[in-house]
This record gives sequence, C-alpha cells and structure tokens, in this order.
Amino acid sequence: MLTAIVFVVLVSSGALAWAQFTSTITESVSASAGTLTLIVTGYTIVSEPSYMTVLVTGVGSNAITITASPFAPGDSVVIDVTIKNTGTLPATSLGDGVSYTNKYDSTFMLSTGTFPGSLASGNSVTITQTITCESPLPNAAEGASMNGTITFTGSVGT
Amino acid sequence: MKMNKKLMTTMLIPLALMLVVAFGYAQFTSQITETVTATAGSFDIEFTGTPTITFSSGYMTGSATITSPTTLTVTASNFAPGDYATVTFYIISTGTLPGVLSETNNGPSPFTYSDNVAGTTIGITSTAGPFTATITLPSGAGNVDQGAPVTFTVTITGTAT
Repeated sequence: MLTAIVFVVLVSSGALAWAQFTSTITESVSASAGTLTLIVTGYTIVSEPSYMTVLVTGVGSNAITITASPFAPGDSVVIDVTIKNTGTLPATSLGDGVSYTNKYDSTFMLSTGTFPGSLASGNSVTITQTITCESPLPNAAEGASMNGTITFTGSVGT
Repeated sequence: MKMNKKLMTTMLIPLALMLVVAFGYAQFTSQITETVTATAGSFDIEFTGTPTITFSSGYMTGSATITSPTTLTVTASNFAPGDYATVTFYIISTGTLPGVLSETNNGPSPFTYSDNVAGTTIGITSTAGPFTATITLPSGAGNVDQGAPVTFTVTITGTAT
C-alpha cells in the first residue's frame, strides 16, 4: 500500500514537472488556389456569302452558338472567335475538339484553327473557324442542316 | 517553626544550584545561517531572422513576415494543382533552459502542410534552423477548389527539457 502511494506521488510530481515550462509561437498561413477561366469575348465574321445570315450568341460566356444559313454547295463562312483567359492562372495546356452531326451525309464540314499551346492570365487568342458546305451536292441535300460543337479546353497543374 | 525554616533552606539550596547550572548552559551559544536563493529557469522561443518564401511556379505570389516575435505570417496565392510554396524560417530560444520543439496545425484542406520542426532540440539562447515549411495544393485538387482561400494556424510549441 505504501509502495503504491509513493509510486502515485512520484508519477504525479513527474507529470507536473513535465508540463511546467513551455513556450508557443504560431505560424499564421493564408493560402489560396488560383482560377482558370476561358470565355469568348468577341467574334468577327471574316467572310460569308452576301445572301447568308450568320447569328452568333453567347459572347461573354464559355459557350457560343453560331447559326448560319442558307448555304449553297461550295459556300463557306469564316469566323474569327476571340478567347480570353480571365482567370488568375495561365492555361499551360490547351486543346480543342470539333464534333458535328450532319442530317444529310457529309454535307457540312466544321473546322477550327490551331489553338496555341498556352495562354497566360489576361491574354486573348483568336481562332479562325470555318463552316463549309460540300460541293457538288445532289438536290436531295437541299434543306439539310448540321449541328456542331467546338470545345476549347485549357488546363493548368499536375 | 524552626524545623520548617531548616527544611525550607535545605530545599532552596539545590534549586539555587540548578539555576546557576542552567544559566551556565545558556551562556555559550553559536549559530550559523544558510541563506538559500533558488530561481526557476525560463524557456521562451521566438521567430528570428528574415524568413523567405519561394514558389514552384512563376505565377504564384506571397510573402513570409515576422509580424510579432511569436507570429510568422505567411500568405501564398494562385496555386494550381501540384503547386507548392516553401517557407524558410529560424527560431531562437531566449530563455535559460534548453528545450525540444513540436508542431501542430489545424487542418489546411484542400492544401497540405508539412515542416521539419518537430523533434528539434534547441539550446540555451541559441538559434535553430533553417526550418522548411511546405504548403501544397495537391495534384488531386479539382475545379471545385478553384479560388479556394484557406487560412490556418501552425502552432510550434517548445518544451523545456
């Protein structure tokens, strides 16, 4: 019994001594991730047939819609689209993809210029896009349409 | 009556002798005084020197500043996934006791934090370091983390040994 009490007292005094002398300093850290945002800031219709109407919507966002008609065989519309990096980070890896669906064979073709490899924060790049109606086409292709999407993707980080 | 007087005299003589002896005992004394002064030691740590901060990418910005002897304020911004900031700093012991350092932080998610402070022994009135702290936005961070601001505290505790 006496041995146990002595042990407890020794342990208690040891614990108190352990906690007695400390000093604390602090490191206050603020960290924030950057942003990467690509938007279409404008466009220019470079060329189009005189009888054609071209409508572009969605400027100021990351998705625009181009509607053009009527096409005769061999017609094409060329549009320059300006894309800006409004984020705080550079887009160090850029890519684009084109997909479209013709409602009559391969009546239309959608193509886009080469996207640069990188785009710094605040910088813009202009990409030329072309919509072409194939030629020759049979009368059966009259009234045919195409739905297409051009996707520009930028990324940063590992 | 005469008998009583004789008895009284007989009793007083030994008493007088005892008093003489007693006074004789008290006469010759000597004492010494031991004055003891004990002072507990002190253990205090502070940041010292000029901290530095470097970044894994050129588009990152930030600073590392000692805003008070016990506070190191670090700001780092514009992280992309995989980016990191590295802070270098020193700690000085201003007390009279040596100690050992430990570190805790309150969770910087989605960032991660690491340093090499824990387990370091710091001597009396000596400077320890350079210590290196790394703040990382892991590669697994996604679009949900874009622009994410995080403020967290790293507590470095020194314990006298």
